[in-house]
Amino acid sequence: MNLYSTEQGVVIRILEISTSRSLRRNLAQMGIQIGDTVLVHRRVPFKGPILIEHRGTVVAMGRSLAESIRVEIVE
Amino acid sequence: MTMALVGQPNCGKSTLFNSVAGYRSITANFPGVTVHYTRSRILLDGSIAELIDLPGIYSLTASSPAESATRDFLLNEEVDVVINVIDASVLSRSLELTLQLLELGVPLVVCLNMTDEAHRKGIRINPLRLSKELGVPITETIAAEGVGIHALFQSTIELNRDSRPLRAGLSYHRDTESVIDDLASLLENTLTDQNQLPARLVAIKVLEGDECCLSRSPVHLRQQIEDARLRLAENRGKPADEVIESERHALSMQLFESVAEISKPPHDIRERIDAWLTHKVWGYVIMLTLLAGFFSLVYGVGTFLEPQILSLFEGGIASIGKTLDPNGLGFVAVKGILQGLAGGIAIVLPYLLPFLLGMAILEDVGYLPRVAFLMDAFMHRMGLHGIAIVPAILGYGCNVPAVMATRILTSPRDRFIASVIATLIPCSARMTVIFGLVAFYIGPLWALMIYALNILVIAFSGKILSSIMPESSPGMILEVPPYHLPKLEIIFRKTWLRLREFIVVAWPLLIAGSLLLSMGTYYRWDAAINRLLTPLISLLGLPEVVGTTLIFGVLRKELSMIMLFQALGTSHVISVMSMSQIVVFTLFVTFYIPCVATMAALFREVGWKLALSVAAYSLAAATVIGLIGRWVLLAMGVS
Repeated sequence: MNLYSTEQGVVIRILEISTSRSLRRNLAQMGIQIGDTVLVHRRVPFKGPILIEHRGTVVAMGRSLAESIRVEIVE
Repeated sequence: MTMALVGQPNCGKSTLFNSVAGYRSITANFPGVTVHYTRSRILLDGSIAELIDLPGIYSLTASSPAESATRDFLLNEEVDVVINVIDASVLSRSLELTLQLLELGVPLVVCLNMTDEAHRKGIRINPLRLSKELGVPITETIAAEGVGIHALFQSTIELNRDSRPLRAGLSYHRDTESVIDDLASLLENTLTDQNQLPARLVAIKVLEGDECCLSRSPVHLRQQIEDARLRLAENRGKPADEVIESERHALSMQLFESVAEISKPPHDIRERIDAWLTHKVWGYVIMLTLLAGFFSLVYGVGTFLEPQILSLFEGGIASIGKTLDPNGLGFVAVKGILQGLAGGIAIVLPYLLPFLLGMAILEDVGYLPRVAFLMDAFMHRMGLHGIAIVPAILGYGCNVPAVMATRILTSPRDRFIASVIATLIPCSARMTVIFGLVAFYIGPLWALMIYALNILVIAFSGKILSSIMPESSPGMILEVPPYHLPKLEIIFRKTWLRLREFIVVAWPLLIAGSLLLSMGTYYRWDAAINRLLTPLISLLGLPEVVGTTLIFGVLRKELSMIMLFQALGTSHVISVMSMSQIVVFTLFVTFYIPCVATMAALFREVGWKLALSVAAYSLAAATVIGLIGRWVLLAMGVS
């Protein structure tokens, strides 16, 4: 499943990030990489972005990017 | 001694800088506010030292112009000590930059800032342990409250005095280290005389595929570099740059875990507030309410103060008119100067002051990144993403920092579209025109409609530009910082910093312009300019005398309104212009050519060709909008 299809409040683990090199790097710079466990913090309507939290950092992420991240649910 | 503050966006570098240098660097609770560096001389232990506040960067691999600026500065300038400011509440991530600074080999001091915020998140860090692991001195600070600042600079002085070479005992996994070591020893002999970068750093950077370091590496080693990258990729089954990234990530997390204790954070009221403010329905309702409240505040304060201060000036001018010959040059000159003064004090300040105060509070609380989050879906319709709302929001204050803030975007195409959009945003100068003319004479609802129309025009322009440059926007990644209680002192000092900009730069211009125009009217130069602009002015159905005011408006947008009073010979505009003329004039001023300062910023960011096209586009847009406005008002029966 991809990150965008998850429910608010679940904890997921990132399995794969299939996006451009620069976006993947941007994510890495904010401390988010493959293998990290992340909380799906908030979602908005109109195909808007989602908020995720990882080790104290809250990051807003657009839909297309969230869809390119393959995840599994941890809890 | 020269010290540079380096850290990730929104870690409090500028707050730290301001606490020792006086409020000079704009701060906000928003990543990426500082896009150029500010220098200041400070007194340290009786001797003068230089402190530099650099733009925040996530890593030393430059991916946006703001990051390149900081990196180039660190690599090329003589800096004695680098102060690495870390937001303790996001330590794990921040250490990735620290590791790269260690690789850079510069004398380093770590400032563990916002420790109060870390405690609120349930993170307790052992600074002694971290200091030992990293091999650098560490000071805990709360820059916003001035806690620990003295100790920080004390350790900086000590480090500079000792200037012992730093050698951190940190290393990556063995297989990666062996690739780095081999490449570093190859590079060692060839590099040293050309640049002072440590070979290990260059080796890591070329493995990461850093363009800058690659192009500087000797040609005969290119094949070996490629082989090393392949070796790294084969070891781990992923591209070399990802290997290095994940090594750094793993090392930071491991460091973090060894020095920090994480407990369940105590109940935080901010979490409850945030749940409302970013709620899928209430978030939007609250956002609109807040903006409406902000709008009414500016309107309320402004319309309350404007007539009172204005009548003082008018009384003054009238009494001077009794002592001086009303038709003489002397009176014309005095009147010109007084009207220029009145424009600044009575018409601009009453709106500007509440606006700047409100803006400062919104910025410091940390609400703006939430707006970016809520608005991302709408920005997408314009072919941009949520981060582009940062320059847009800044644009409501002033277009110049807004255009510069487009540097936080990584793609040149996004930067261009965002900077065009930034110039279309009605800045605080245009805000005073909209409020001082339309809201004051016709009503607040009309002013609100101009803002709404402006948003439509921006959306339309964004849509056109993104269809001309159809590159899929990479999508938003934006850090959303926690809320902070705004500090009154910081709010006032920030407002003052921006207000001073208006007083120092705009005011003399307003007075000189007003004087020039009153002279022009006296000697009848203005007629020639007005005749030149007649086709445009009559197309818009405006009085002929407003021609010159539009020329002045290119210097500063408020100038066009102040000049309007001068040109009409009264500050009671409604007595000589009809309601529809006031609206059309304001529409035109809101949209036409960005002011010279914005043009200069645009020129620097996107080049003169594109800057001129933006000017031409906005002139055309202003004319069309003014014309449509005129017709619509005519059809509505507004005269």
